[in-house]
Amino acid sequence: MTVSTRSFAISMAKPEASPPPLPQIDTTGVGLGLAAITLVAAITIGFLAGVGMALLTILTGALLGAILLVWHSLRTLAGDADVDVGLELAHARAPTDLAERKQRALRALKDIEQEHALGKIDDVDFAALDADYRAQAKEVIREIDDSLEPFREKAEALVREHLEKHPIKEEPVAEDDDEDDGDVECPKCETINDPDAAFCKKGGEKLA
Amino acid sequence: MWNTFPLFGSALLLCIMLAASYTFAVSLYAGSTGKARSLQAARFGAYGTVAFTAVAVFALAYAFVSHDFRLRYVAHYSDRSMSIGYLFTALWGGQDGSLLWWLFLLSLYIGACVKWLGKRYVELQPYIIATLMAVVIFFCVLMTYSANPFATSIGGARADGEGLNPLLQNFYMIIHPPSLYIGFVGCSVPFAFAVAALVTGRLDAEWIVACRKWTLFAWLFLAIGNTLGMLWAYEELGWGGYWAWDPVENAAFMPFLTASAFVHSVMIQERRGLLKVWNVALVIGTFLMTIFGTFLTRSGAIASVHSFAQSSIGTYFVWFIVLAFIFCFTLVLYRWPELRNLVTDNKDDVRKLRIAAMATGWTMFLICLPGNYALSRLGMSSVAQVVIDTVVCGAAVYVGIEVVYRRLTQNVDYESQRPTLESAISREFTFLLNNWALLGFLLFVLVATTFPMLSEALSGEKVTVGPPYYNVWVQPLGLTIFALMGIGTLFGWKKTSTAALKRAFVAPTVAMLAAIVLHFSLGKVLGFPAVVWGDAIYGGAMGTVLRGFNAFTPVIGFSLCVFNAAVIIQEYAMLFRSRKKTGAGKEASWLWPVGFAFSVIAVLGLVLMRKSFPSAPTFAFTVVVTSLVALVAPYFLFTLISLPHASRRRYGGYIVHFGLVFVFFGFTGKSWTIDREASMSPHEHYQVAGYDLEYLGPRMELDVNKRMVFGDVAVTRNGAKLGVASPAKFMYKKMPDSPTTEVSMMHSLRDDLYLVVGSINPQTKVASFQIHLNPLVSWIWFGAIILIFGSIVCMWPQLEPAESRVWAFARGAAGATAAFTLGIIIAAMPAPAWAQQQGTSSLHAGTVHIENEREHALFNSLRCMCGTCARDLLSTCSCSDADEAREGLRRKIAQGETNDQIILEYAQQYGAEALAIPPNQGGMRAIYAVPLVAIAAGGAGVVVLIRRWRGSKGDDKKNDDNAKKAKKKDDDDDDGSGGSKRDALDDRLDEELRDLDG
Repeated sequence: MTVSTRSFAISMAKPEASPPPLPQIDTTGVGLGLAAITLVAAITIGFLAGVGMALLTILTGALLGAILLVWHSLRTLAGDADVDVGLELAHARAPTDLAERKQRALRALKDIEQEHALGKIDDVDFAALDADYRAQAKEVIREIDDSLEPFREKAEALVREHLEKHPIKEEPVAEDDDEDDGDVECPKCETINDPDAAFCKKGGEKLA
Repeated sequence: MWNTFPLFGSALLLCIMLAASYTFAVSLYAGSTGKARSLQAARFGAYGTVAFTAVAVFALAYAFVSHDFRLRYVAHYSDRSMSIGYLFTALWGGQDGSLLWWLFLLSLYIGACVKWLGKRYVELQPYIIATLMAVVIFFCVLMTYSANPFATSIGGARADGEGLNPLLQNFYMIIHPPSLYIGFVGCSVPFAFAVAALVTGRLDAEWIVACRKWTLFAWLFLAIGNTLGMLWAYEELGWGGYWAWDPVENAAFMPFLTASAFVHSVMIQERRGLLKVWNVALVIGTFLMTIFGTFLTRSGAIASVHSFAQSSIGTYFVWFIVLAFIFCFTLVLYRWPELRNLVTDNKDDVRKLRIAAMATGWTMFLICLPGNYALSRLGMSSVAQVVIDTVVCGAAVYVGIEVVYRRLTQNVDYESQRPTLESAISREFTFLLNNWALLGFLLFVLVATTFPMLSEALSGEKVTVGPPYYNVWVQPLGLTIFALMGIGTLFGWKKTSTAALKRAFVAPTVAMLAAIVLHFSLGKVLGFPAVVWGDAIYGGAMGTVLRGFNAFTPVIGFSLCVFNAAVIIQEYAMLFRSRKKTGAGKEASWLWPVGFAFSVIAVLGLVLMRKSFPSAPTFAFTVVVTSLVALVAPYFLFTLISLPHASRRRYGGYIVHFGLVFVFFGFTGKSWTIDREASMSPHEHYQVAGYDLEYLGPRMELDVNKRMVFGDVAVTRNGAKLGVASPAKFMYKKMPDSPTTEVSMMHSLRDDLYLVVGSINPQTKVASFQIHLNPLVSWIWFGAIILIFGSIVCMWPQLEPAESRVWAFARGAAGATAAFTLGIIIAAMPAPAWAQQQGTSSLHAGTVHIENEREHALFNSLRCMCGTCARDLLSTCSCSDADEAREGLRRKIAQGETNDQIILEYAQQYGAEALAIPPNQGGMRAIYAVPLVAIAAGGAGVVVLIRRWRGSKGDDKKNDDNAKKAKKKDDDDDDGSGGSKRDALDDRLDEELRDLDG
């Protein structure tokens, strides 16, 4: 648990300085710590003073926990605590109609495959259904690709822009031996074989 | 602080309410602005609410443990002599505490759900949290204003409390309410997902996939809770049965039915995008039913064994249900365009559609409500009015909106977006049938359960709906569902080829026919005749038809059990055959020798325990079954573990069905129940169905709480000594006027011997016994265990391992371990099964004398009006008032009156509520007529729906012919380009299919 203090005087004196970091509190750590302490205390007190006192101990711990949780919630709301990065980035796109249809078409194909394997759909019906759903699925995939087209172009443009600013340094190409590390040369015909080959792939000569 | 501990507790309730309200507000804010910061704040607020609830529960627990009798609730339900275990149990022993307990379980669910949601479903999360918080707030309001567990009594702290009712001081009280509540409360989570989906408009399969495991979990605990309730009634309450169709039992059963329907219909939405409105309605209905169920239990609206005290609490529930209904109804109407796939990019159009839906929906609803009045002018019974009105309302809303939409969407083409079905011969169709059947059954139980309440509220006429009514009607309805369960499994998704379907029917049908023949020929010999005639509950044609059908339910039930078992075994055989073809699972063939080893060990163990088996046939049967199961189990479990996700759910579902087969088999046993009475002097023998009972004599014991009088009976069966049963009467010091009856039971696979002792004459030592023989009951409990196992298989998390030999080995090892563990558990079970059981209490102290069949029929149709028992029939109530009533009726029989005359006079004397079941006349017919009509209408609806879904695809035969022609053409066309032309996209498709779910 690290807490860094703020110094209001200093921050007021230098307006351009970035705001001081928020106090970092490892909530999971605190939570688990509190729970562990409460449990240990409860068991100890339970042995010493009976079940009633143990319950009171747990009660106290839970009360502390409740207050801390609500306090942390208020801090988050007020902006004094960091938001979990994962949550920030987790805004899912709305499941589009296209994505749903693709999912359904794929599920349908899987179903038909399974029912065919089990013998509930015979070959004639299977062929017809499979073709039908494949056509549907392909249509949906084509539509998805089309809808992504403008974004693809934009992505390529962005990459090109980035590469112009930060070009990739070309490394000098190392002299290539005929043998890569590990490759085995056949003693008879000098063909290069894979490292784990037992016999030469050309003439069948036994390799070491 | 100690002076104000009760105040501290009450303050805690307000803290929970405050934290929940805060979280509610923040989560709504997070939902509308989409800010991650607010969402995180809401999540922590939810955790805070959970923590506060825990504090409140621990506070109440502390109050119990420290015997703080200032609290009214603690003083009422505990005393200084109770053990710690029962002190904790008393937490949920009464109204107030059980509400807090409900809240506690809800908060545990909320904590788990919020943790599980994590970074997923961020669009839905805020509204899920908000909905759950709203439910929390409701329960807080309930407790603060109506049922505060921390309230103090006006008289101050007492010296000692009243103590928990001895009836409740048993093992089952410890586990039945918690497990059932876990099921009830669990239904809030799918509800929250559904509301979140409706609010955000994300109404495709996302929310369904998200809440799948939660739904299964809640369903599982509803099943467990109901089973434990049955066990409790059977082992403890001492009336010889396990289900009395008590309103509270029905209240726990109904959400189970809707949840079962839901887990099936979601599969249609996932695959087809159909039934969106239906699924949303089902989930909302399930949740409302759990709230309604707990309302029935607590408000005292219906007399029941479970009755809590009468209080104002019912009003709060009614308001909550009404408000929740209005909210959900409007929400569904608002989202009608999304639910019907009618959303286009034109915002104006969509807005018009929304307003149209809401306006039409509410207008139709409000028009139909006063339709009640119109119906009453037609002379219908008030209950019929209400039910007809509700059903008509729903239909009117739906039809009204559809009609309006048709007009509004005339210019836009929606046809292309309408989902279609290839074939009606498919699982899609049979799952629809499943929903229809389950919901029909639900409606039947709902109408029967609420009939007394509605009848009294609306027309002042009191009626009783007793067990005979349910028992007679449930047989045809239940067996239909059971039959559909097997038939539906034979169909495949999308389309089942007719030839394949016919093939699939062969083996199970042959098995079923063989079972019928076997039953008719061997039934009587074995003591399980195929046809058993019972009493008709009505006169006239309806009564005769029902009686006729129910006479054959033993053989129908048994043969359907065999049919269903054969279907499931066949499905697994098909699975193993197809896996063999693809070579899957070959790497685990070492599990067969492992299974063989287990088999040998098991047989050796059984041989060593030969002495503990009562008879040679039982021993042989056990050896055969155990060796087979041990042989197959490791490889079977390995297969289950290695199945891909969707398949595992399917085959896990089959295991659940298999458990249900066992359960239904247990239910058929009810037809062969034998009830006897005997008064015996010491060392007298009594014979019944192969059992020989020798009354050894009375015995008295004393302990701290009670005086116990036992009547020991030595039980022998077919010559083999089974042990000594000791039914007893307990006289508790706290309740000296109402001795409780302790049941003694001997279980076996074949039947349960159930002994109750009535009175023991101190001088002559003559004891009067009630002897019940309940066949096949243990199969119900085995079935429940298999059902639980099947659910766990369905819920098992998906592993994402790389396909390597190591993983295959690991799965094999897991399979073997699971088999071994299961074996140990199952091996440990027969020990208590053959040992003697001691039960506890019953409600009345005497015994019931019934001389002949006619008396049985008569007493079965009349209620005991002593006022202390709830709905007990004259044939089962053993109080002194019932004895007098029976004597009076016997005199009337002796005078030559017919049963019908006697029933009429009894009804005139005590009112219509004295009849066990509503008479079959006039408006009372509504109780079965309305559900039957609704079921028929539902069936018609299913047909219409299937037709619409088939759309323009035409009929199956035409499609089959077209398919054959197309294939022939492809074959003829063989010019090298092949029948189906593969292109680049096909490869991509194959790749995506491989990744779909492994």
